[in-house]
Amino acid sequence: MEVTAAANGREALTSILENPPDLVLSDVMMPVMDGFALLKEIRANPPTATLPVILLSARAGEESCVEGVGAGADDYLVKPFSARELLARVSAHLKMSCLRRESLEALGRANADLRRVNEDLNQFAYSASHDLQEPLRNIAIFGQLLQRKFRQTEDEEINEFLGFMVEGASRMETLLRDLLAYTQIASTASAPGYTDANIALRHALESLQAAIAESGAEIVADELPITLPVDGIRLHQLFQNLIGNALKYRDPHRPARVRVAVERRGSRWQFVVEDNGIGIAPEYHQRVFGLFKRLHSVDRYSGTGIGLAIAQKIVQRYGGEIWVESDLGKGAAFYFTLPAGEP
Amino acid sequence: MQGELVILLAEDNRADVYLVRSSLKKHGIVHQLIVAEDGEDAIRLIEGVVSGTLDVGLVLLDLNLPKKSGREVLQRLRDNRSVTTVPVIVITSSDSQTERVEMIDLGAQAYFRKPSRFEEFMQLGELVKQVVARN
Repeated sequence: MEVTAAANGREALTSILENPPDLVLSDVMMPVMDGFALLKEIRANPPTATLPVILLSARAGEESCVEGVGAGADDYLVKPFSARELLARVSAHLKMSCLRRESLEALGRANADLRRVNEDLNQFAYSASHDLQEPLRNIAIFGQLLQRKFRQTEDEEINEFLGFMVEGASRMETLLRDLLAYTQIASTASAPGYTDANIALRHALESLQAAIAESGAEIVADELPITLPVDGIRLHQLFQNLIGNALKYRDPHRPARVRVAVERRGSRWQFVVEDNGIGIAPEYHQRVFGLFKRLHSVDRYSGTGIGLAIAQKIVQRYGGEIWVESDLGKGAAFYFTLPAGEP
Repeated sequence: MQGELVILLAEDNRADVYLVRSSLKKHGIVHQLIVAEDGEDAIRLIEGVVSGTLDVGLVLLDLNLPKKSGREVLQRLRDNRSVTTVPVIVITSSDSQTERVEMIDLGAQAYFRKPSRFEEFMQLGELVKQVVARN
């Protein structure tokens, strides 16, 4: 251990800032700048803020000890103390500060790695879906041109095969567009401010106008919170995906009904979009939120399986949760929570 | 449209060159098509237009080009705007509103998103006619 001595707080501070030590052992009563003032300066200065400081004082009693620790000292030794006790405490605090520094560094590195990996992944998904569209477009167009060329052919298989090819290309185009939309939820920054959930719902219903008219569904909604700290476009998208699903998976044997309700749960709002549709068997309750996961063939229900994945991503972005309660033939209730955070 | 129009097409994708050619033909646009396969090639040809050794009536510019991007080519054209007023139609696979605005700001006359249906792609010829008529 190498020890540097300073005659008062001011001198000590200069020396600490010039050449930061691993630990500071300071008397409380000193001329020019006392131990408490020195401690305050050390804590106020970011590079030295976590430096272990042990105060030494003749002022006995629990009071002054509490005062020292309260001011940010790591430990407080009352004179007289034995050399062994001092050494033991110094080495314990050195060890602790070393561990603290190491774990902070490790945490910082892990966080940076995680952020980088996440950004890379997002960038990868974005450019993949973007760049793949171009060659795909050519497959689609030249498939269509071949269809025209072979329109008169006797060989029915040629047209059947070309049909599969053109359909496949068109489906992949939709998948890529959806993937792009999915990655953009993470990359676009949220607009600050508050959203009136009633307006977001109204916009969602306007976007779904055709589907609502076609299904003849009855949609009822609670009075929703008017100051949700979430992006209005995302909330619109969330309602649209959930209500859109409710309409799409309606039960053909009864008139479709969708209910949007909300309930305050502590610091969050818990929303529910409930329908009387075909329902989801419990073993699929997790799976339905997976990216491009579908429970039905494309022929029965169109779509790529992106809607609930996007819904989940939106909710999770605001630290909320989303889940489904449902059973086959008994309708489905999609719950999600969002922060309340009144202005 | 009087006389033969010289069109500079900056496009590295041969399939798209074919489609552009088809759409021009379909709309009866009599043209001579000069194809630049990368951004540098396109800039070199544009320098020719600026110096007066090449006469081009229209530039069809893909944005995703090798070597130099279509954006850089457009910037180069804009820098020379005092010398050349040749109209530019940006053609691209991407579907971005910001990009569209940006390209128009950079001086493009029109923005054509390459569609994945043949008939829609053929509408490029119509757009070419409109842009040429305007200039």
